[in-house]
Amino acid sequence: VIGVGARVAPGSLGVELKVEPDAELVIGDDTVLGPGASIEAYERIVVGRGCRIGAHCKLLDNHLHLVHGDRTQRPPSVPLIVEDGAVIEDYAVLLPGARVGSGARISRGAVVSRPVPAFAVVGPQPVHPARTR
Amino acid sequence: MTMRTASRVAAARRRVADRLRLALACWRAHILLADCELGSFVSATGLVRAEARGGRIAIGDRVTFVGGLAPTQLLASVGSSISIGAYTVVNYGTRFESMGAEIVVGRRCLLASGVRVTASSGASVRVGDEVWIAHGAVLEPGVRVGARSVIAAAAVVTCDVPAGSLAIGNPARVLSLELTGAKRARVLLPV
Repeated sequence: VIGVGARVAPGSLGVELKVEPDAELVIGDDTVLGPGASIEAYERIVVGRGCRIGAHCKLLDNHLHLVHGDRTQRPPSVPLIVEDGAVIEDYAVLLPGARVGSGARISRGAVVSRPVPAFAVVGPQPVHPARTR
Repeated sequence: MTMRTASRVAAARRRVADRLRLALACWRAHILLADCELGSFVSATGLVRAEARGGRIAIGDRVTFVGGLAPTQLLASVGSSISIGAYTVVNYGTRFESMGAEIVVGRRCLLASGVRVTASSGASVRVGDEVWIAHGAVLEPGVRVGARSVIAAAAVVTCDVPAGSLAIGNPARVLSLELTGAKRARVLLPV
């Protein structure tokens, strides 16, 4: 389900929307997807209204491989929800277990795998010097 | 036609379609990877750009290059090499760059989309067997990853990762995979 006014920002790369059989992907009205963004729904992914999903973002509701034992097996999915007005900056990755509250901001390149409260700003920014060389 | 024969016919049709798809993917791999030493049944379902500019690129048996948004790139400069072990699966947008060093990826590894592996001037990268590298991870030059380890999504690996461990974050911290059964880690990686 893709809402009214949802659109893909112009860019050299397309957008990947992968929905497995019996899975559900909902993209709300006026949500913008950046170039190279990829959403893979194995059970259920809901993106709210007026969200911005940056370039090269990845949204997954399944880890796809088991850590222990047979890596060709798939673990159970955890539905992923991005609430209205959330901003997901470029190169961020949302993994199963993430639930982004409304108006929250996920910084560039952040990896989220747990709930983020509404209007929170999360991520690796601002950077701090790791060491000198 | 009874239900049983109908399902049998459908299964046979699916098997034939799978074979055809594999044959097409193998043919595509042989065209795209003309510069490389290929094992048997190497397949590519998308774009792969391989440039062995005086270097050597060796791909093992039944390696699969999965297609998608961006092409996979394998670049080896003069005197350097890239080798990928048998049964490894490489997703789209992956970039291997070897400049005067070696990149060795083991057997049955799983490489997700957007993984970048660079080796430069003598700093070789070695990845063991059955390693799973998640989306957007980066392996810096000189890094060694032990067998059955997991590199988390968007991790930047700057130091060696022992066998059977989990590398997470930027720069990557190394945790034991045994700990992923714990309550905290279950949120991170359901076991």
